[in-house]
Amino acid sequence: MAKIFIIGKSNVELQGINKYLSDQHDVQICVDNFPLVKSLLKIKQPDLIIVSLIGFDIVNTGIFSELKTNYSRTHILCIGTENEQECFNEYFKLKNFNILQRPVTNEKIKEEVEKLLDSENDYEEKDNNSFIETAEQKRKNILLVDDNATQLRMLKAMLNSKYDVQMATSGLKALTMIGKKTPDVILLDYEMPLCDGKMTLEMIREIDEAKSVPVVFLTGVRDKEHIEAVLKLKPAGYLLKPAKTELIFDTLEKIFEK
Amino acid sequence: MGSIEKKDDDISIFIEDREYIANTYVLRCIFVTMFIFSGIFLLNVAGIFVIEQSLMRKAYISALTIYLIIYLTSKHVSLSDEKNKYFFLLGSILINTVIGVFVTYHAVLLPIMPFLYATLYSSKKVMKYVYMLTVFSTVVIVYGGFYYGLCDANMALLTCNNLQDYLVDGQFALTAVNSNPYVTLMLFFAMPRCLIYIAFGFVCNNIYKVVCGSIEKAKISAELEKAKEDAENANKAKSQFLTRMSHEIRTPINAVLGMNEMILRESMEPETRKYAHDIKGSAKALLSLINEILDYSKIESGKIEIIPDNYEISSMFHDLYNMMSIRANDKGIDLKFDIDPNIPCEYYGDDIRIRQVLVNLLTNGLKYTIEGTVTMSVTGKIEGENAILHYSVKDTGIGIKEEDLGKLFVQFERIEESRNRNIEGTGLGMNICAQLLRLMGSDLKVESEYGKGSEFYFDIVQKVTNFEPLGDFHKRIFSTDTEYECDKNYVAEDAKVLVVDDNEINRKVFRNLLKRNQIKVYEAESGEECLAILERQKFDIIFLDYMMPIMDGVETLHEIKDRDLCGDTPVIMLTANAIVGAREEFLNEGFDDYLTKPIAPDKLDMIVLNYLSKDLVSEVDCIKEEEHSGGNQNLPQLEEFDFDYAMNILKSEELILITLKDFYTFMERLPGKLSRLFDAINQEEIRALYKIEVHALKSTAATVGALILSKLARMLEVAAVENNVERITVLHPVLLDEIEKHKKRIATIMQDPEDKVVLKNLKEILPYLDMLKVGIENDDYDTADVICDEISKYVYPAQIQTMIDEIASQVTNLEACEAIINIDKLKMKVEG
Repeated sequence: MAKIFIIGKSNVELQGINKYLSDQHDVQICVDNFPLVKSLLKIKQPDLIIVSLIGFDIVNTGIFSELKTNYSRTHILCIGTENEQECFNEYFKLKNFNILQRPVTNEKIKEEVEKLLDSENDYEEKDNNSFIETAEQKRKNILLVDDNATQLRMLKAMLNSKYDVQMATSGLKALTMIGKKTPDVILLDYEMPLCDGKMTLEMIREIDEAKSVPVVFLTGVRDKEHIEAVLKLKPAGYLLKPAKTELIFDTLEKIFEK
Repeated sequence: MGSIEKKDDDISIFIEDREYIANTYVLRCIFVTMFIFSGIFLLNVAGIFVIEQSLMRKAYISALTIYLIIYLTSKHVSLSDEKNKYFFLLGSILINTVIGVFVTYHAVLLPIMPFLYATLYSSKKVMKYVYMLTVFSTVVIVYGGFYYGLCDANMALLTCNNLQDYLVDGQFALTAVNSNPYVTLMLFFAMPRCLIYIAFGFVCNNIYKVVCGSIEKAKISAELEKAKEDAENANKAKSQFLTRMSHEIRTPINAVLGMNEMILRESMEPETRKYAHDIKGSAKALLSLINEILDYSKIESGKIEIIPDNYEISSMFHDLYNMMSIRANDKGIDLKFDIDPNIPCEYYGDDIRIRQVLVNLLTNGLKYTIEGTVTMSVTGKIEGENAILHYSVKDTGIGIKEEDLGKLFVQFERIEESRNRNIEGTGLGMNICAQLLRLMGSDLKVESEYGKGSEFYFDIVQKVTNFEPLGDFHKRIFSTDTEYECDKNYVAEDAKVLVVDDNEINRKVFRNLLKRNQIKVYEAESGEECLAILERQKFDIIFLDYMMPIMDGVETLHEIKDRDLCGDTPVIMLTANAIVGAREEFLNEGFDDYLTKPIAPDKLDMIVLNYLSKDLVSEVDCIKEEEHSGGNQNLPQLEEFDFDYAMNILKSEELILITLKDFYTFMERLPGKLSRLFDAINQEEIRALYKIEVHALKSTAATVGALILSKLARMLEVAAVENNVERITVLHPVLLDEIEKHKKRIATIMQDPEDKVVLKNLKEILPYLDMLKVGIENDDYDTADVICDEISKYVYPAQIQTMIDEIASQVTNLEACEAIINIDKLKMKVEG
């Protein structure tokens, strides 16, 4: 399951490619808006970039320039007619750029994609240093669960620099997200309506993949009985709200060291 | 005849405010002649005078003919006014001559008519001609009459003894005097008559002069009256302008200085404080410039008064020294005060004006000196109960050229403009000084050597009230210098004051000035509101602004007193009109004291301490205005937010700001949510939900440092847990109120949106909406946020904008379902 990023004007062809690839891979479509492309690429860090040149013109060189500068290690597949490709010929000379000329079927595109993805792995292994770096630098994934959006936003802002943070507004949502991707640690709010912290934890513990994920409780209630109840569930830790930044980081780091 | 323009030369008569320009009436005068003539005819008919009918007829007809000729000519031939005059004059003389020829013995009177005409209508030039023509006409009449054998009785009497003998064969017999009849005629008839006529002419001339003179005088006095009225009006307008300007200009300066004072008091950032100090200096300079101009105008319109009062001369020197020494230090100039220790220490005089003069002289000294010294020396001589003080300000500056000395005191003149161009000043200072000193019975003198320096000095008589010698001034300066830094501050937590001013900023400034003293300041926007408040509450001091629309300060005060609303609460007036001598006026109206705007903080403190009862006031040590190292430099100072507390939790200013903005978004929805729950608060399940909401609010608020809000939320949480519906009912509105307050507070620091671009085709937004929807569906808020930001960069038509704002808000609040619903709605709308 690779991350594919498709850049292009929103049209039938694009939707077609998207549908074709999305059952096998994680596909993100993005319109050809330069700042948006730039930001989203940074967030997604895809394994493969597809550029559909339909409707592209000289204005789009910004995007190409960005791809050239910052994504020289990623395979880029450009699909378009000869005319459309003309503007960007100079870029196509670069190592990581690959071209498919229209008209072309979706199957052909998929083939090419798989080919590139396979070679992608070689590409990465060649550069040993970067490989090691990326492994070390691989960020931990944290799932935040809290019914209060402000709290979630705040924690995310706090942790975003160091970790990848996902937000869930309820226990049920959390379960959905765990299903999609298992986090490395879960920060769970205790006081939530409908499905509170206790229930959520029980549900999480029932999922195989998530059983061993450390869970940290965040609670706003300070009385003894309450805290004892929380501790009975054997979380990896607990924090009192409002929690200080340092404390949160310390707790997380301790968990990751184990 | 139409209207004739009056020339300068013309004579005119004012008869009951109407001006009659004489030449238009010439023909009428001629008519008058005819009338007289007709009268004679009638008399003749009646048998009183004997003129032969045929003669009469002839005269009448010829006169009439000439008259008609003249009249018709004037009608059909347009002549210039000048020529017109002469024409008529000639005409009248002609008529007279002709009549005179035929009616010789009545002709004595006729030639005088032209003189009358000339007097009435024509110019001085014409008079000359009238003399000549009359003489000519007389001669014609006399000889003509003789020639035609027409004569008058006088002639006959001169020539013969017997009246019957005058006609000898129808001819004259003039033998008595001379054999030549023409000579006789000339000697005895023509000449005497001419002399009479000329004499009459002179009389007419004088009459004319008198008439003219008085007309002139009337004109002049009318003009004078008008000029006087104009001057008075101008003066009144000027005074009104002065008063208004005084107020108009001081009000914004008051705001600037007041707000600046707040920056100085509250900001802990060194750069900002530095800027604020600069602002203070400049604003004060501006104020003094304006005061200079206003003073000048006041002196001009005679409004400056010398108001004597008791004063201590040492404090005046002290203030002067403090004021000037900073400036002197900056320029590296030595400032010396050489004060005779034997002069008395207290006087009765207008020290404010003397101070003003000295400040001006010293400032000038410093301005125009590049290096060296500026010395102020004061000596005195006691004479009876007065002291004659000699003030001198000497400098080693650029000096003044001898030829420029005269220009020194002329207003608006600045000497050596080219050289001194970059030295600020209006050029009014010296002029004002000189005038002020003159008002105080003194005179400003100057001695100067170009390139070496100048000395300005004056002697002034002041009444002494305390003969004790001043002593060593310097010791006194330096001892007080060190104490000057730290003041004792005071606090009056239980004191309540009311400030009434129609200007919001003024009220704000006022409130801020008393903030550090923890005095509770209540505000009223108008006299009416003030009265309404006073009906319900009592205060410790009331501050009333003088200039307010509808009901001004004085009226309000009278109303308060009439309705006995304030008892013996002191009422202080706030006025921007710094007219000296106003104090007595205000006291007469019933005020206890007054303060001028811009309000000087120390003066305000003085008044407050003076009028607050002692048990309300407690002294505290002042907080030194140190540089606060570190501190929350980038965070705005928001009243309800304790950012130190927030810092403790979040540890980063940036984080606080981000969280604050999220908090704001959170606050947008919360009141609605809470209120909906509150409506059904009697149900247990709803109460539980309410509890959860306030529980969340409690910690979130605490995180951003909104401690009051957090506390309130906690109280409501407890009430919800205890199922205390009554308590919830009481506290809920309070909470909503606080939320509103906090929202407003945050809104003040929300940045203005930068110039946004208009989206050309609304449909372009559709792919973004798709991307956004996908992001939300995948709980991928990183993507969703980025797309939201991108979308928000554009400007949309109102309805669309609202929908987008709502979606953005929902994304921030992680309200996935609602956001998706709205995205679909928006898509449908855009797709049309």
